[in-house]
Amino acid sequence: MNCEAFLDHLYDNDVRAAGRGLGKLPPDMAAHMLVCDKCRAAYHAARADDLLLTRALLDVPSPAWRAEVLRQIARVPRTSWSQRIAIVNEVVIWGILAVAASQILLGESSTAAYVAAFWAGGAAALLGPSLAKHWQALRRPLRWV
Amino acid sequence: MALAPDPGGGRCHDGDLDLARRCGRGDEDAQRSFVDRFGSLVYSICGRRGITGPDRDDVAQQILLDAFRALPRYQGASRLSTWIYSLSLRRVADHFRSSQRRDVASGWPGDDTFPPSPATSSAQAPDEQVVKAEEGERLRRAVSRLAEPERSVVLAYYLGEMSVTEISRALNMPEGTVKTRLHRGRQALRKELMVP
Repeated sequence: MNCEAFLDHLYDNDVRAAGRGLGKLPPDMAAHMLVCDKCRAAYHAARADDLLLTRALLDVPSPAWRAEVLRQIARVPRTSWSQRIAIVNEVVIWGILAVAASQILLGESSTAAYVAAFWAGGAAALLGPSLAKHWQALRRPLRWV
Repeated sequence: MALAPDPGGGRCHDGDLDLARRCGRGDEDAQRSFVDRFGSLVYSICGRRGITGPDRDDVAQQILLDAFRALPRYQGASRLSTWIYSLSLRRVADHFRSSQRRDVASGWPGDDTFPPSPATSSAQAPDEQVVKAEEGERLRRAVSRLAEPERSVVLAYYLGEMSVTEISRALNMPEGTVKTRLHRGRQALRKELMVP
């Protein structure tokens, strides 16, 4: 690697990450730095600027501002129409699958059995993700045991 | 904000996508995480772009809410910070374009209405806080005096933590030009701050 190529890669993400201790410099750049004082100085200057500017340009808003944003976010409707349609689709699909399963496994053919199976499938589709989440939450403390 | 590898095209940012989805489902932890991660970014962009005083609070709040509402459209093709940075720049431009703003001081970096000092950390000693605040203020003023497009490139790279590729796409300039602007911007800052 020559000096021109070295300086061309000075702003690459892997070089930037290495400067923050989040990875290693590409081997060819590390090797070049060992033999070129000018490029080594350029790397260290770029690293110092990155650490300084990234921190110094970032302002922290007040806790009141943060609280107000969170309050307004809580008032935003949870799902869009497309997501609601997707949920209805899922309920219908799982309901139909449950009806088919009850037919095959139990041989039920009454309307009441169809309706019950349909709603059972739909409920499973709705509650499934929530149950999975609670199951994960329950399992979390067990990992420490 | 963690630095992610360069997306280099259609790479999916799963962590950001997961956060976006959890926010959309009403997960309060995710919402807090979203505000903590991107609140400072949006607030800083508004400040660095010259929106001051109560306007800054209002505009930053509105941008973050807009970003939150738009999360279902986020596909993970770029980092969420990049996505929000670009959205913020558009909203800030809208803010300055709106007719109500035409009769007040622009507040663009370079004039006297440039933003005040940021909040400082309570973990530091008071005199250390003052020194850091002064240094920060000096630095921000120096950035404010950078010419365009160097300033935009420097802010996108350091504040937005965007990669050269992402800046190239966002500002519609070749990657080589982005690097040149970045280098020139840094040199100008060092000259202004008298760093060798």
